[in-house]
Amino acid sequence: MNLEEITLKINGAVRSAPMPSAIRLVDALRRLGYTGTKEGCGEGECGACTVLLDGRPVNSCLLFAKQVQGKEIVTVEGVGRGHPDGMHPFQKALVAAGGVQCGFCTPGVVVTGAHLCDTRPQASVQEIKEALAGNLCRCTGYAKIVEAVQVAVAELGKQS
Amino acid sequence: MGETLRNIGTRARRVDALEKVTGRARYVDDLELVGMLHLKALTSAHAHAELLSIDTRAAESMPGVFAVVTGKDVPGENQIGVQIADQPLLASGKVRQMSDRIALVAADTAEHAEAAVRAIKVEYRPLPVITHTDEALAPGAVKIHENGNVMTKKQVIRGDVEQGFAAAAAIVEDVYEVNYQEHAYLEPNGCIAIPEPDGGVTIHASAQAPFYIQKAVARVLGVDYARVRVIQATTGGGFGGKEDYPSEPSACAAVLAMRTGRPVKFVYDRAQDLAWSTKRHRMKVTNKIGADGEGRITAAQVRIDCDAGGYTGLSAIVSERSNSTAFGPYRTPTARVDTYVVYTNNLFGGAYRGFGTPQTTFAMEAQMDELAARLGLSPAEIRRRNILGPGDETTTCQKLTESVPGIETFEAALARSGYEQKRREFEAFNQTSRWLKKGIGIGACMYGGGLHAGGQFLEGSGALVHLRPDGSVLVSIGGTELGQGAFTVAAQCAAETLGVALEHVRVTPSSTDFVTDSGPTVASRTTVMSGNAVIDAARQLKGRILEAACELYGVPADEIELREGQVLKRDGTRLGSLKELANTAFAVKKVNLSAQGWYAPPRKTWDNARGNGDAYSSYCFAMQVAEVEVDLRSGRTRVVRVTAAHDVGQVINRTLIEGQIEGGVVQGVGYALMEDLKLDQGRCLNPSFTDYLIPTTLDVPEVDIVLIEQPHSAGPFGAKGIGEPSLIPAAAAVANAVSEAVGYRFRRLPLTPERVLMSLEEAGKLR
Amino acid sequence: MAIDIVRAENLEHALELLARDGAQARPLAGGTDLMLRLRAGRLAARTLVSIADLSDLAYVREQADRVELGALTRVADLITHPVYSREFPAGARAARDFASPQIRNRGTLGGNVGNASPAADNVPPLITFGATVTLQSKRGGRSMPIEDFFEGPGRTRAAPDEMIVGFQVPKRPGAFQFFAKFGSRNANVISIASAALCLRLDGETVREARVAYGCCAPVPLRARRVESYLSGQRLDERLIAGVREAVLGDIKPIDDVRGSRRYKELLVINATEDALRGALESVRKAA
Repeated sequence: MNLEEITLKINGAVRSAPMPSAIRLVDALRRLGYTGTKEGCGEGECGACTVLLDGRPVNSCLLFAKQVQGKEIVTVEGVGRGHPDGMHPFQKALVAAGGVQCGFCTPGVVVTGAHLCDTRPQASVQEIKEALAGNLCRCTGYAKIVEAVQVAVAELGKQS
Repeated sequence: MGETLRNIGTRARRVDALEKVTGRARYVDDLELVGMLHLKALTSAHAHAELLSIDTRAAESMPGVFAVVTGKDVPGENQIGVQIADQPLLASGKVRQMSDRIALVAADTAEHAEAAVRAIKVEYRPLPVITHTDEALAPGAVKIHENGNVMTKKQVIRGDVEQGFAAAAAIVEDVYEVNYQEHAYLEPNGCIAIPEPDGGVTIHASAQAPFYIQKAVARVLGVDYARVRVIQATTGGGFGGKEDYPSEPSACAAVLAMRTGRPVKFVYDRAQDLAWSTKRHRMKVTNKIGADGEGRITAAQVRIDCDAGGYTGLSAIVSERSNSTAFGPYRTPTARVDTYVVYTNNLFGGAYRGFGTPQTTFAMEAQMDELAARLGLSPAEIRRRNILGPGDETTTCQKLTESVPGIETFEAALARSGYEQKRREFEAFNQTSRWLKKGIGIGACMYGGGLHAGGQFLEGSGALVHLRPDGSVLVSIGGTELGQGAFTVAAQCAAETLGVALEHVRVTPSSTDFVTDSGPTVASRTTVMSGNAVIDAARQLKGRILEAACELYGVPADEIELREGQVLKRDGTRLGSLKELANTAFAVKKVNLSAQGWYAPPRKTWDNARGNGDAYSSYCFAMQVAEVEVDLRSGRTRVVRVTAAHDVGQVINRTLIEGQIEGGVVQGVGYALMEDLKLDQGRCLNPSFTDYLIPTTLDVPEVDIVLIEQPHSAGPFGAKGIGEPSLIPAAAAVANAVSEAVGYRFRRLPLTPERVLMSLEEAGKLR
Repeated sequence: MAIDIVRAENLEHALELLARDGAQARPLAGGTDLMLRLRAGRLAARTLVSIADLSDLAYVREQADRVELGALTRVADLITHPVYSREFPAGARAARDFASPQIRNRGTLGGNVGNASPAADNVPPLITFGATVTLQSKRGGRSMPIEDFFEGPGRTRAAPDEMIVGFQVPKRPGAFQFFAKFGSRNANVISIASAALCLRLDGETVREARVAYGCCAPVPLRARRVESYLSGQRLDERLIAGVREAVLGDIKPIDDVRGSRRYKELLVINATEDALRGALESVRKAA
């Protein structure tokens, strides 16, 4: 198989390795050690592989790594950067609210939810649900995830 | 005792939450090992066929391929059936379902393995495909196994049901059919098998039942259990789907690991997981209930046809639960249950949260509404008159004695939901609303906690607790953490018993090397079984260190209390720290600071011929009320609210219980409304999350929870299980609400928009 | 078979690459559909020409009589763009109902159209607005009404060296717009069927009707029988009651894993009736 050097900017760091040309972003991230990003369906349905690409949540299973070289990628390992304890308030709120069970959807939920808290702190409950509609969770029934967004938004409001 | 509980009934944070929100938790696909190979399987092209030849020569010489194996290469017994030896690991002679494996390939990359799988040539002679239990039972049907298509037949006989029907003022009899449900845990099945230098093997697996895997792997390799170590990796959900099924991929990986001498990883993608893994069974339920003029049940009869797929798996055990609790939480003075477990060439039926009872509950709860209508009673009233109470006997003639708050749970659900008033409001609303209809419905269940009397040979659980010299505690349990919170509950039980702060308790990943066979993590049994085992071990340790404390501080042992890492006198005077005490006990007194705990419930009696006896050790009640809106233009149902009242004995962790109920209700809503696997000649047509739909954030109701606490003496601190009762009544409640909203009785699940609209159209209800 | 991904520097470069590799090449925009085709083995291309970063092609531009949309405008940006949601509320509704937030953040309008799925949610509203699609190749540019662009599932009239670069969407001031999508759940779902209407009304008279359906034919379908049935007619219950026959005359849905032919028929009939009732109501409210 033909390998070529693929260079990605992940959580502010530049990482590169030889990989197949058409490797998906989710696979490239995992090969580079960012195994927090999970593959739950490979079809962009479940959202477990969600990362931020230039500040927007996207499915890393539907992206070619080569297409996003040079762009800012943020994974679950990076959402807490710059926050106390390296944890985004949404991560802390998820723990406190009990919005985590098996944890496999959690990295994607964390990326989508933290982004939502940061960009749309005024979101209503309906808007929170809409923003999270691309993240399937089979354990929690979502109630405590939605609650965690509200808690984190309030916390961020206090910080600023 | 009267002691205040410090770690029980709290909202203690999950012990594994931090690693999960940071992405550090290590699932099986996150493990990479030097020299590791990747496994891919070739499965059958037909749901039913004779296997004429398999040609693997081309595949063997493909790039990167280390080994290609078929049934003849299995070193031990080529057999995986947990209960009956009817399922080969690798097909031999015949295939009976699409997921039958023909051959396995291990290669250096997944892509190379995939390419080699495609190069394997197989010749089949197709046989007629049996796609329904009715076909399987028809005279002259092709036999899927040599002994015919009825795998097993079970029954419950209680009194004379014919006399009971003769005494009835009203009788309802109908046929209900329910489709499969896929667990849809977010993490697909996966495992790694590592060959060990001593001739054994280590398996890391996403699994609910490491001891099942241990037995299966030992069997296919022909090695001792003691040489098979199974470590549960962090597991991304199970819901029953990782009870028996993971034994299959693990046994495959083990065979190839031994063959190649390399670690072998076998991780499914979603399509494979959906197509190959077990499902909640399709069932046909023929339910007949008679009641007197007051609405009191006089006779209950049901025939259950359970579609097992091509092999036994756990189907005989699943159907035991359908069989024993087919009539829900109601008194059945006379009853007859006939359960047929039938082979077909459909998907493989297995364990799924609720274990054969959401299907029968759907039927029974619909029948209760029908009976109420026949007698001019409200759905609530007819249930109220029949719910089992203390001193009553269940259908299997088991006397209910302790913690039986059926009616309390029921009334709590009605009161909290405002059932009677809403029902009147909705009726008035529907008079004037042409296209939007509202309905409210009840689902009720009584769930037997733990394994059925027929499965009690597995019913015991171990724990290992170490007190470390610094006062910290290490706990291992035989149960597993699937997301439900078992490790947190185990830690809480240890912390409470030993008087240690929760953050100083660590729970290890479950491993068959640490604890004796503890059975599977199923049947809502883990809080009770593992919790009691941890308490048993912790109490032994506590006894030993109190003895040491008695010497150290010169205070009688019964005057000493351990609390949050401190050693206190009963009057509150501080004597020292647990750290100091543990260190002295270890270093000076040479106390054994490790203890094995064990818990097994009392033996249950069971008469298999009549289906009579103590089916389960204890029961819990779950009563749910669903409110829906149905759009008659699209057939779409919105579940607005589910009020869920649950009898939980004693709350150990409030957040975890709520999480179980919220999640269980939503899985039940999915089962009721959208989850619909479609088959053609035994082949699954929608093995993807694109076309097998589970609820999103925008599909879930508000879940309003009421907890009823009547402690049960057999539970840790009085607790009962909650995992399955949270799901079981939900689909029934939703279906009853939909039926009431539109004035038409639905007898199939799921109630997809299409089924609702087309049924009403065909019934002439739309124009 | 190894796939080569080449990043185009600019539009000329992209067209150059497409011209060079012909049928072996395909433009790659957001990739949200293309990746699935690739994984399912339903993509013949050897070279994927990545155009996702050609920011010149991501725009919503307002002109006096029309709005111009760049092919690489992300679906999420259509929802939030003030001009698009003001001029084309039904289009914005379709964009909001499309896929999931993550896919809307990556998937582009040009990609949704170029993928040529009969279920593409953004297409039926564009048909009702009278949108045209603009194609470009090294040989030059051309445009055509969007409903003429599709040949069958996954097949369009774009030549192998041609690429969608944008859309011209005539404004429909004062028109009644409608879009409804039906799936078996409320989000993140492929349509079982969808319906879009754009009606120019004069009092209670339908001056012009444009109607389109998704999942009712091998291509997103413009419902010309329904349009002529409605045009020039007085909008009342009698007209609404009779639309059923016209709808059935236009559509040819098939039984598939998402729904039966009969169900799809019923859905689009009901949606059309509901749209017409909604239009009538809005006219009466305005009067």
